[in-house]
Amino acid sequence: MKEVIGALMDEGYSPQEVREMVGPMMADMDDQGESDLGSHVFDLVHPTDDQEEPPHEQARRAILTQARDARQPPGPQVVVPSGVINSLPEAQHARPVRVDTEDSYRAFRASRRDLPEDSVEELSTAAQAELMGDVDNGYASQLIGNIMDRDVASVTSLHDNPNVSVDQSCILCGAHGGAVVCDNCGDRLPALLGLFERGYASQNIVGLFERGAAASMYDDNPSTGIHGDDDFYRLQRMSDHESSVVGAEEFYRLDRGEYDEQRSPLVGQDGFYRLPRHALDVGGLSALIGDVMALSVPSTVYAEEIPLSFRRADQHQHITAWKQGNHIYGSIRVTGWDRRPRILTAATPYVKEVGIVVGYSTSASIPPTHTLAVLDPLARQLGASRLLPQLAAAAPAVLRVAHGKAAPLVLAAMPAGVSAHDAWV
Amino acid sequence: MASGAVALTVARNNDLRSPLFGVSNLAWACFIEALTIDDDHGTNKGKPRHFNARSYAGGLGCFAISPRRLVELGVLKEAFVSKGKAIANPNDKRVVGFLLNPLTQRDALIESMRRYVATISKLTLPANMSLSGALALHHRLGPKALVKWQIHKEPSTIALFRRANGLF
Repeated sequence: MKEVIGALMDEGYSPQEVREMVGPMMADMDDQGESDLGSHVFDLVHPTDDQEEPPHEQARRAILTQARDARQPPGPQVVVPSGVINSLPEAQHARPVRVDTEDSYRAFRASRRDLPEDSVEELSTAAQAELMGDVDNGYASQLIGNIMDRDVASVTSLHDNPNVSVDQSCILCGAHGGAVVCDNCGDRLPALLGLFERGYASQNIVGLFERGAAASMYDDNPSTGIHGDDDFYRLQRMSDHESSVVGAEEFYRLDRGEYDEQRSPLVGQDGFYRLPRHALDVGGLSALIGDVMALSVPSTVYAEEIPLSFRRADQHQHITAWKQGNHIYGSIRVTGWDRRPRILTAATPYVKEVGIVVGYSTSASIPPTHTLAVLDPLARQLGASRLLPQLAAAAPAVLRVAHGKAAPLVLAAMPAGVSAHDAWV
Repeated sequence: MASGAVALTVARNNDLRSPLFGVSNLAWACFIEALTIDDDHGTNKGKPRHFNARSYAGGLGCFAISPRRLVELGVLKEAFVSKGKAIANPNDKRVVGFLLNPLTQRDALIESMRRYVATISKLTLPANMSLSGALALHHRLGPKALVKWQIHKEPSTIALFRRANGLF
């Protein structure tokens, strides 16, 4: 009724004329409505002097204000995350609402129950995207940026491994970055060889092998004992279910530990050795298991010591090299993290060392007969001489990786600059 | 540095040790060197073969051992005959491994010579043919070398015989 009166007044009808038109309508109204309308019409007809604004103008403004409040707000309702006010095309016509978290969303939702469902749904999606990190959502991309500004853990860790803590270090290089494998290692280290260590106090079996060396040794040797002349590398027979003592000297007693197939390989931080990681597929895992078994399954082949010369007379007490079967082995004794001795053993295929010497002789145009005369001792000594420095250089990384760990480690080492694929050649 | 150098010298002498009874180490070394000379027409004529060489007649290695002989020795499993020559499958891993391992070639040669010596000991060698010459002919022509040698006129075989004959 009030709207009718206002509309009539806007049309230019006089109060008398409005009364004549509205009068019949008032007959259908109750007493309160009649009273209100009557007083309102009376005010319109009898304006007071203290009203600065013409009464019809005041009534008109009052009626229009009430009507505006009762109607839906004009334009779409768009919820814009905090800090991104004008990033959306609809923002210029919308009333931005700052919603950062789920709590603020709930509070806003409770305060604006008059909002349509579609606007509320947009806000809900955005809130969910913030929590779940859904990058497909346009709002979420903005929200993730907001997350980064608040120094939360990296989005990568949230997406790939939400259980990784901020203290997680790369299993390949040890760098702290919140990722299991950092980006650098993931690009540079695609493969894994085998790295073993044999020690007295440790239950690990760790050795450093060139690819395929230990596996071949395992394939060539039946499960019988091997004994060398030198006590340092004397190996007694070991079975799968029992550990046995290796050698007469206590410090290099070898105990076969439990090999955990699910344990991730670890690599040190020594820059000289980029320690690649091997995808533990079916073939790779079996090869790694073969490498572990190779050290625990002695060989029947006689071991011949490779004599080496050292600058210091006492160095030979900590270093030994020998040829056994089709491989050349080198061992060094170092002090472990627990101040107990550790023996690091490396192996290389004998055929490979022979090929290296042949290459040298061919380059020097040496007749084959002259090469044959010195081929075997040269291959042994050059192979051991090349193996031991690599082993010594890898020792800090191996000990650092093996620090505090009792489980077997399966690692690898290659000189820097050599890719994992080239190492197999 | 002493232990390594001494070991190297001892090993060198041991590697040149003659496997044949009554043959000196020096004679044996000269005989081996004679077998390594490449007599085929090519850029390497008159020079020692490389360890991964393949001769024109199909021989493998620096000693140009015939694939058929390698099958008899057990180094290879099979050899094919093509255009009157016995050849080995170049893709066979045993062939590849044999070409890459000089010590295997040396061992194969030693075993082959030992077997030929056992065969030659039952034969009467022609005049002006020593054991080394006979071994060289058998190495190049096979078990029936003495029969083939009567009609064989291959220049490379003649050159080999002239180098090896008379060493022991």
